[in-house]
Amino acid sequence: MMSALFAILLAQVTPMQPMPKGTALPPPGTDEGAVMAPINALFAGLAARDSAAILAQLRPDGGATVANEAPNGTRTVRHMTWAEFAAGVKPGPEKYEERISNPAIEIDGDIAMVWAPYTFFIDGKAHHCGVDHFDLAREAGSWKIVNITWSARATGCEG
Amino acid sequence: MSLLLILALAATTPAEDPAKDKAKVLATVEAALAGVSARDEAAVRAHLRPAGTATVIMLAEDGTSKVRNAALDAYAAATPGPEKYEERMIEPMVRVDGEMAMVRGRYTFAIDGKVRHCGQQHFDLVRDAGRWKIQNITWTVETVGCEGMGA
Repeated sequence: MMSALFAILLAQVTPMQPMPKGTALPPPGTDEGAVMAPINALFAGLAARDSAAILAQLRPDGGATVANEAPNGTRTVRHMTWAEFAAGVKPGPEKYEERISNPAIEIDGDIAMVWAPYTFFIDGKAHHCGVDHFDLAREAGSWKIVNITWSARATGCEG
Repeated sequence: MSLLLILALAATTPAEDPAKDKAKVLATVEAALAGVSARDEAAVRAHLRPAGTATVIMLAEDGTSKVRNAALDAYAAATPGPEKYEERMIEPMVRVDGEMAMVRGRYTFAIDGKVRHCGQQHFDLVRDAGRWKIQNITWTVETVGCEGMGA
C-alpha cells in the first residue's frame, strides 16, 4: 500500500503526462490543465478584447505588475489594479494574440504558480515578449488568478 | 568607440549574472523574514513594494480552505510581545527573468522555538530602481503536520 508520504513524493517526481505536440501545454483533465484553465480563458478574453471575460478569471483583490525593459536599457516597474489592467483591453481592429510555451506549472496544495515564456502578437507580428508569472489560488474547488507579473521587452522576440 | 564595438558590447554583456541575481532575490526574501521574526515593521516594509497583494489560504483541519486578501503592507504589521518568532523557508526555489523573480517553497513559523504553523509560501519580486522588492506574497497556513512539530 502506498503511504500518503510516498504518494506525495511520487507526485513530485513523476513527470507530467505527455504534452500535446507543438504547444507543450498540459492536456485538460489533469491538475496542471485545471490550473491553466483560467489562464487560457484570460488569453481568449484578450484575443476577443473582452475585459469582462478577463476579469472573470481574476480574484478581485490582486493586481498586475509589468517589469519593462526598453530597447535603450531603461527599466520600469508599473503596478496596476485589475480595473486599470482591464481598461487597457478595449475593442479595436488589431488582432491580439498571446502565445506561451513550455509553462512551468507548480502546484502546492491550494496555491499554484505558472511561469511561462510568452510572445505577444499584434496582427500576427511579434510585438513584445518576456515571461508571464501567474499566482493562482484554489477556492471552492476552482482555480482563480490572484496576481500576474510579467517581464516585457521588444527586442529579441521570436516570430 | 565604434558603433560596431558598441553593438558587440551590448550584445555580449548580460544585464546581470543570473546566479548573482538569484542570490540577491533570495537575500531580499530572507531579510524580510528576518524582519518578521524580529517583529520589526520598518525592516519588513523596506523590502516591500508600496502597492501589492498579500493572499492567505487558511487550511482547516477538515480539509476545507478559505482565501483571504489583504494589502501587502499587512505582511509587515507586527504586534510587540515577549514571544520569540522565527519564520523560515525550507529549501526555497528561485526563478529570475530580467527584472522579475519569484521565490517559492515551504515555510515554518515557530513561537518560542516551537513550530506553530507552516505551509507553502510564494513571493513575487520585481527589481525597482536597482533593488529587488517583494510585489506580492501568497501563502497557505496549516496548523497540523508541520515540519518540526513532532507527533
